[in-house]
Amino acid sequence: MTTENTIRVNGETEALAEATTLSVLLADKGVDAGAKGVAVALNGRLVQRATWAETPVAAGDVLEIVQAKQGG
Amino acid sequence: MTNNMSDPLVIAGRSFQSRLFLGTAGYPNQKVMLDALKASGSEMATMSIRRMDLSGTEEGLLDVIRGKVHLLPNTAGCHTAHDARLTADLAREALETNWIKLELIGDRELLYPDIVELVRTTEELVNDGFVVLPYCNDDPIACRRLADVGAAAVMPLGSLIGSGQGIANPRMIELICERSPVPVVLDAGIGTASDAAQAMELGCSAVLLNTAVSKALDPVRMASAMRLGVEAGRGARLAGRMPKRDFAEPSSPQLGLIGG
Repeated sequence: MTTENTIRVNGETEALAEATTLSVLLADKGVDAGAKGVAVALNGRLVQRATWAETPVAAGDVLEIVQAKQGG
Repeated sequence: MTNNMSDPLVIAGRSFQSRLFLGTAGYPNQKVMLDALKASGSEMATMSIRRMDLSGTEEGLLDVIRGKVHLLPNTAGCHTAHDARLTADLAREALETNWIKLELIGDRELLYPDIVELVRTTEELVNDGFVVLPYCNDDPIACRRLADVGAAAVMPLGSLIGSGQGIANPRMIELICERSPVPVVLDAGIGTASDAAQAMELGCSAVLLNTAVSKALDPVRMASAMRLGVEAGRGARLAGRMPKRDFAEPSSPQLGLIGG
C-alpha cells in the first residue's frame, strides 16, 4: 500500500477506499459523536467534536483517536 | 484547633478540603484503585491521554471515576512542546476540563523535566486558557519563572518519578515554599506516609502521588496512611514546631527534686 490510498490511525496504516468525513470514519470504528471522553487529532491538530461531520479525511492523513486512561 | 475543614487549599479558584492528589495508574485492578481513591480522601485524580483501543475490549476508567473527583489530565511521556500542547488540547476536549498537569520530559531514563521547554509551554497553554500545573525541578528559580508566566501552582519533584526515594533536597523544597507566590504541590518521589508528612511540614500546599499507593502491598491501606500523613504534616506545619537544640533540655521541672 502506498500513501495514495492509505491513512494512519493510532500508528497503524490502513486502507482508505475513498475520501470520507471524520464522523463516518469514526462511526466505522465504533466511535459515535456522543462517545464520552474521546478526542481526535488530525495531522497533529485537535478536531473539535462539533466539526467531526464536516472534516474531510483523505489519503495520507494521520489520525490520533485518544481517550483518558490511568495516569500519574 | 485547625482541622482540614477550616483549612481549604485554593488553586485557580477551586477549593479543596483534601491536600492529597492521587494518580490512577498501576493498581492491581480498577476496584482497588477506586477503593484507594476513596480511602485517600482525595478530591482530584490524575489521568493520562492515550490512544484508544479500537477493538472495544478495554475497560473504561473514565466511566467509573467521572463525577467522583476532579480530573487532572497529564501530558506524561511528552518530550516536545508540540506533543504536550496537542495532548493538552486533546485532554481538554476529552475530559471537558481546562486543567492540565504539564509534564515535559527531557530524559527517558530520569523522566526529569526539560525546564526550558516547560516554561515556554506553560506560558503558551496559559495564554490558551488552560489552568497549568507544571511538574518541575526542585529549583526556586524555575518555580518562580513558572509562576511568572501564569502557572496556577508549581509541582516540584521530591525525587525521580516512581523512585519512592522521598524528598531528596528538603531544604530546597522549603525555600521554594517560602518564596512561591502560587501553591507548591510536591509531586513525584513520595515513597511512604512520612515523606508526605515531611512535604507538608516543609510548607507544601499539597502532595501528588501515585506509585507509593498503587505499588504498596495494600494500596487501600496505604492510601489511608497517606491521607493521615498529609493531615499530620499540615497540622504540624500550622502548629509551628519547637526549635531544635544542640543539647538536652529537661521537660520535667528542676525544682523539688528529692534527695540532695
